[in-house]
Parts: sequence; structure tokens; C-alpha cells
Amino acid sequence: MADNEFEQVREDYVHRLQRQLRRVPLALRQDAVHEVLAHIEDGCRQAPGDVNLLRAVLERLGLPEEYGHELGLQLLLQANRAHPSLQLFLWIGLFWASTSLVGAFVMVGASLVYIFGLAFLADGLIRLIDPSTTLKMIQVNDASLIPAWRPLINIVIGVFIISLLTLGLISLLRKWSRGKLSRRGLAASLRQETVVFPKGWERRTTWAVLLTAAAGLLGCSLFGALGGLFPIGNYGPMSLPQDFFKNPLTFLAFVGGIVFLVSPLLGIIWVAWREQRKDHLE
Amino acid sequence: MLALLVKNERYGYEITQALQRSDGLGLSEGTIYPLLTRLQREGLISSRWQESPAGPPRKYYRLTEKGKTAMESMTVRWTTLTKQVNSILKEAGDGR
Repeated sequence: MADNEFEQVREDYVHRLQRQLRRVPLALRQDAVHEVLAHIEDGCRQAPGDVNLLRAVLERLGLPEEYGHELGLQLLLQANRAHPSLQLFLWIGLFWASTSLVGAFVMVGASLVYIFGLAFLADGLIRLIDPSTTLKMIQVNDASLIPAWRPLINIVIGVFIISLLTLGLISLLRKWSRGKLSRRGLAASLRQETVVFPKGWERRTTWAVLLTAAAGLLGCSLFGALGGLFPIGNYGPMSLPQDFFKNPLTFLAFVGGIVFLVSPLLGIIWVAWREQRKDHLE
Repeated sequence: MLALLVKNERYGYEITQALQRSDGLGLSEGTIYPLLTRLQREGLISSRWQESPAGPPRKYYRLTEKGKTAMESMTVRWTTLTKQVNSILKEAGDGR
């Protein structure tokens, strides 16, 4: 009976610990659990099967939730540094998008820019294979959003957009996840350099993204109307982006449109620059 | 923690017991394993599993070259700091 209780208490602790470590890669999780089992075994060596001794050992180790939380975050950081994988970044991206408005802005904005880059790449590749075809996937009022430049130029532009965005996004997700992890009870055990974003940055970034998007949309509409491209509110049929290069005003409308499209990234860069400047001045 | 591994490698429970003997440190057993994981992540220690003559296998930790260098530099800093604090306390004591 006592042995049974001993097993039960130990199993319960290990089960709760495993649940706390569920987001940690399997190999690291098993490692941590085996180490705890070895610790329990060593701690109970004086009186094997003594449930009171086991309870004392576990009490010194701490609640599995608290202990597992601390250990789990360290293991996640280790996994993040040692084995960065596409799956991990997708998970972080989804987590960020579902828990914060800025994250949703960034992920939706990044998806739009990815589509833009992929369209350039696909258009270039298709026309390289068959010069008589053009990609009609992305259209605004029957006009292709992708300019019919030379196929190789479109391929280079597509690869450039995709590579730059991927590198930027990976760096941003790594910094965000480390900053997030470090604020969740790890301040004492993490080096300061891993805390990247200051408190309240998400609220400031939300406003920065909204303002940048509004400015871009307003600029596009205003300069488009002033340049005779379209009346405000009625964008009519046009050939993009060639129509935007008719005169300086239509070019400014084009810039406004680009600012609107990449506002999530511009908003973050704006806030990061301001924070850096503030740190520098302090 | 690093100092405990200078002479030879040790396993988790051994380290917790050695630290428990130093009352003033105030380290609970629950913080020791995450700390070991952190030191490993920073490359200051490495680990290996070894079968135990009795019970489950144990994870042994040892200092890496980077860990030895860090340990030496921390020892110098600690010695300097304690010397300076002792000198200030001595001065304060003489003035009383």
C-alpha cells in the first residue's frame, strides 16, 4: 500500500512536470524528466519507498508547475538557440498573432508582402518559360499588380523581397520570443542582453502601425486624386503600377500605397528607432 | 556552481547537496536544475549521461574550457570585490 502511494505521488509529480514542459522538444523534455527521476531516487536512497521522505524531497524541489515553468523556459530558450526550425518560427508567429494586435498586424502584413514577392517570382518564372503568358493572379480592377518587366528582373525582385522579409521576420520573431520568455519570471536567470523590447512597446507599436497605415492610405488617395489618377473613393480601372508613374503626384500616390502595404514593418522600425534614440540620449 | 565543478564532474543531486551545505547561499533545489540548464546553454558546462550502479542513470556535469575561463575571471572579480569591501569595513570599524 505504502509502495503504491509512493509510486502514485512520484507519478503525479512527473505527470504534472511533463504537462508543464509540453512545449519543450521531446528529447529535452525526456532528459529533464529522467534527471528529476534520478534526483528522486538519490533523495530517497536512505529509506526507499518512504512516502514521507519522498514528499520532503519533492517539497525541496518545488511545485512541479513552478519548477517546470522555470526549467521549461530555459529549455525552450535552449531549443530556440540550438535548433531553430521552421515549425518553431511558425508556432511563435501564430502565438504572437493570436495574442497581440501588433503580432496580428505584423503577420498579416508579412503575409501580404510574401504574396507580393511570390507573385513577382512566379510572374518572372512563368514568362521565362513561356514569354507569351503573364500572371493574372493579383489584379486590381482587371489590371495586373505586377509590372511586366523583364522576367529575370521580376525573379530577382521576387527573391529579394522574399529573402529580406524572411530574414527580418526570423530576427523579429527570435527577439520577440526571447523578450517574452525573459519577462515571464526569468529576469534573474537571463542576461540583460536577451531582453530586447521595453515595457509598453506593443501599445506604442500599435499606434505607430495605425498612424503609418492611415498616412499611407491618405497620401495615396490624396495624391492619386490630385494627380488625376482617380477621384477619391472611386479608384476605377487602371493599369498598376504604370499609371502611378505618369507625373510626380501619381508617383507620390504610389509611395503612399507602398507605405500602407508595409505599414506593419514601418511601424515597428519607427518604434525601434525611437527606443534606440531614447536609450542613446539617456 | 561553476566552482563546484572545478575539480571533478558531478551529477545533479550531488550538486544540490553540496549547495545545501552552504546555508547562506539561499538556493532552493528547484532553482538548481534550471540554472544548470542555463549554464549549459551558455556553453560554460557540458553534460553526459552515465549508468548508475544503483537506480536510474545520472546526468554528470563538467566545466568546459569556456567555463574554466569564466570561472577564473569571476574568481578575480570576486577576490577584488571582497578585498575592497573588507577594506571599507575595516576603515569604518577603525573610525568607530
